[in-house]
Amino acid sequence: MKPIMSIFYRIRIWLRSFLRPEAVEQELEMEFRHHLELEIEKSVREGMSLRAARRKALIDFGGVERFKEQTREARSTRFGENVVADLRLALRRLKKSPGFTLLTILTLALGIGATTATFSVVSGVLLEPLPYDEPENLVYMNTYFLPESGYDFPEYAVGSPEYFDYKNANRSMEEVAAVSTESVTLTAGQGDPEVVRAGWVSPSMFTVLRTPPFLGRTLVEADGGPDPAAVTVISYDLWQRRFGGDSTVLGSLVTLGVEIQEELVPSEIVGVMPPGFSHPGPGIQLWAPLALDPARTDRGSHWFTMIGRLAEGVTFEEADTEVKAMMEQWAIIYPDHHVGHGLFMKPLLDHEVGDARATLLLLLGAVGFVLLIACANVASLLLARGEGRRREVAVRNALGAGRTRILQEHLTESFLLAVGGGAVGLILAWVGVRALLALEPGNLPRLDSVGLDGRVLAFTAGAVMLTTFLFGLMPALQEARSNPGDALRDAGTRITAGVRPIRLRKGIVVAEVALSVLLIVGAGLMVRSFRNLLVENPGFDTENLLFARFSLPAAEYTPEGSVEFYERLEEGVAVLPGVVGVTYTSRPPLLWHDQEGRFHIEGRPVTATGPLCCVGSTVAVGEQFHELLGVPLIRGRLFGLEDQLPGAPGVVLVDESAAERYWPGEDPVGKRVRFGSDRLPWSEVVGVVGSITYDGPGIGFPTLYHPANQTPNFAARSRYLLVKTAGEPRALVDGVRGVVRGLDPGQAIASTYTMDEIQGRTLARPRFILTLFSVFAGVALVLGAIGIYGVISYGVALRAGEIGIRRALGAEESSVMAMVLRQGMVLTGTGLLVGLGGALAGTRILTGFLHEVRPHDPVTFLAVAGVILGVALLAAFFPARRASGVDPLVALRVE
Amino acid sequence: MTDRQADLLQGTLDLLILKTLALGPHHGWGVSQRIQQMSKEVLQVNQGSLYPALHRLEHRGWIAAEWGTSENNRKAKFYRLTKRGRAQLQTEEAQWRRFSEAVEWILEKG
Repeated sequence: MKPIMSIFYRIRIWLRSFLRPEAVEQELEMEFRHHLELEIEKSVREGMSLRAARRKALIDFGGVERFKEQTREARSTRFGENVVADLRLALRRLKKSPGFTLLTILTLALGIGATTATFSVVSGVLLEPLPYDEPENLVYMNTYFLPESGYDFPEYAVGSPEYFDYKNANRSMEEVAAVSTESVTLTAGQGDPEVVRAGWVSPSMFTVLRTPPFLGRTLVEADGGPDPAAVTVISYDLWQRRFGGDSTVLGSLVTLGVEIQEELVPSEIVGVMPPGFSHPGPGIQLWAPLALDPARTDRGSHWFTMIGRLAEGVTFEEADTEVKAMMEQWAIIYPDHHVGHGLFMKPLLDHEVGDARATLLLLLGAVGFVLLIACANVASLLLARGEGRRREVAVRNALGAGRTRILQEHLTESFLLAVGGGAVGLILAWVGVRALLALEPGNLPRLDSVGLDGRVLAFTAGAVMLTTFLFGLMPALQEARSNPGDALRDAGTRITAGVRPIRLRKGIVVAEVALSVLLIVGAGLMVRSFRNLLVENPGFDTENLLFARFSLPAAEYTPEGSVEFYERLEEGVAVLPGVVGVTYTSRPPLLWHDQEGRFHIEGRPVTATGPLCCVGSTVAVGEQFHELLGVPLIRGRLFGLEDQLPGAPGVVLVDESAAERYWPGEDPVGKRVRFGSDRLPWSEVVGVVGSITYDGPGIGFPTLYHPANQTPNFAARSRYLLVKTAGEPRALVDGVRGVVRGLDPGQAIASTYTMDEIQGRTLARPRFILTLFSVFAGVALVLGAIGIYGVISYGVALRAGEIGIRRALGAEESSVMAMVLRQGMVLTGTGLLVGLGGALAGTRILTGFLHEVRPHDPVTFLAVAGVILGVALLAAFFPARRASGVDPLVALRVE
Repeated sequence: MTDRQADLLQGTLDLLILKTLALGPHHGWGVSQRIQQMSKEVLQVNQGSLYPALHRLEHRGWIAAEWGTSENNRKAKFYRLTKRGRAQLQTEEAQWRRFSEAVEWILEKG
């Protein structure tokens, strides 16, 4: 690879002459002085006086300035002239083969565009720092319940004794804060009453995050404590929306209707936060101090999470080690509470990214394949073109063109292609990021920090362009190294093409096909899995259902008052035109999963680890719930009106999957179960109903229902009204709002969903992954086809002479065509086998993303093989037809 | 100096520089001394004209340069022949022989 080294050396000295002329000038000066000094010393040694020696040296040297000028000329002029000439030549050449130019630029652009767009989303979500001061020092803390604690929740909320114990004892944190959210009914300001998400936080949250207020002040330490001050800080959005951006809003009083606050004290607005500030979670509209009493010792309640800022010089690992050691202590001090239960921490960024990480990394892997395929394609196209140039290069070599000149020309051409591909790629990337954001239905976190990522663009463009240069130069280097005479003779007289370079190109195409197969198999599996999710029967009638969430403030509604409110709401909505039926539920099916529920069956042995024997999610529903959703009653009875009366004996419905799991071969009806702690009363199982996918598609978790009015008091204030409609459910929203206004003008619907919207949301992420995978697979297929087409059609062009001879010797058109097609199929077949082998080994990583499809699903593998072979046949068909049409005479005359 | 003379001189000087550096790397002054010694003081190269030639050869990739310390402990730019320069030397030597043979032949015939 000597020529490459010498090229780098020469590029370096060119660049130096260009970029640092003063340094070059100085070196020249030094070089001349060194020469004169040695010359003078020599003369002095020979006995001349210093003065005479100096004179002689200057005369012998000749005009110093003249030679400096000549040297400068020798260094620079040729370079500039050649570059312009090479650019012109390369442009003319590219114009002469528009097909090659277009394919190469398209490939480069697809590679750069797709990779950059996806990388940008991934880096925006996963890597972009949080929008706070020194965000790398922020941590998130919560608790865990390991099975040895009697519960099994990987993540659970924190309680105040835990908060204060940690806050007082730790030496790793500058500051910690307790944060939680509430739904707040807001009537102040412009517009209808609305329910907004609010942060109920310790004032230290603002110290931890270090975000200064936009107006006024944040919450301060004096606002907190066991009996917090009636003050609130509002978001920029709320300030603009409800208060018209009026700064006199500071100091005014607003009433915050909250489920958890029994007395209604107007709160003073003391500050406005800057736009975009929203913690914890998106869409927080105001912040109020959370009551935290250091005197409270009940360790059984948990109702907030924690954030903290690492102290100066403390690493996350040190803080993590400290909290783990602390938990070992707690387990000893509080054996009743902290065996298998305690605080853990993770970087706040990891918490906010959440489970999107796996999805994004998967997509990143897939797009990495696209990049590799694009590189392979560019390589094979350039190699093919180089092959076609052998003869020209040989002739020019023989005519005396410098090896470097020819290399330089190839370099210029590669450069132009890379620039063209890069420019189109940049546009594709820009469009791609926007398309991805439009496609993503908002269930990825942190999307507001996604933008076209410059670093990523530089990386992908670099990767693809490097390929361009490498493979653009390779043929020229091979040619330049060979003896011009041999190469010329070779290219001039040989009618068949050389074997060696074609073998390399075939290897590249095989690799490319294999990579495409891997990607398409992945996409195929995702398609099958998604179809299974779509057609999965949820077990109930999803047509025409409207859910409206309510959250009644405790200060205005006693538990009895809220039961009454909901009864009157039900009556009012039931008589609206277009309503088929009305009921309630504590949460709509499919919307989120709740796999934390535990219960105990009377008479069963408790597990060694805790007081409860069984797991299952629980839902509180109105008496008409199962009828309206068309969930069949298997045995026993459904809830009746009498079950909803205050003080009615506790009753429960279980679904089939709970019955099969916990009462196999038994009738659950008449058995008694108990939820949560052993202090709660027993409830009797009165019926068994059909299973529905309550916790979301693909999750079959035992579900237990109890009557809505039997739920513990504060939970009863928050419910979903469920309306079964005759037509479009959204059309009923205004009607429901009117009924609410008639009952209490101070209340509002917190949020509304139709069942269709809920289903859309739950399928949003699989659909997002599927769409991207399909795009990548499509790109891979197109690139693969280009690769096969390119290599076969250049092969045909090079073998035109050979084909001519075959034809002249009597070969049929069909046999020539079969020969070329066979060649294409052998390449594809090899790539296919390698790819399928790789897929067998590799698709296991998809398991977590697949629903009822095995990673080795034979249908997918066969279908992909069929598609690849079909596309390859098509890609080889055009060159084959051209080959069969070769006129023997013309072909022979070419040589 | 007319152009043609310059060309002739330049070509010859290139050959001499390449030949000199084929014996080992040296700095500019050293090259001029060696050319004089080797040509038994017959060829008087104008010492300054050596430098445009050295830099031109460097740009063509026939010789490479790097800074080092000279025999009397001074910083000096050392030139050495590259692999391509060696090939170029062979070509130029052959060309020179053919040229001088041709000239000799003409002189004898004349």
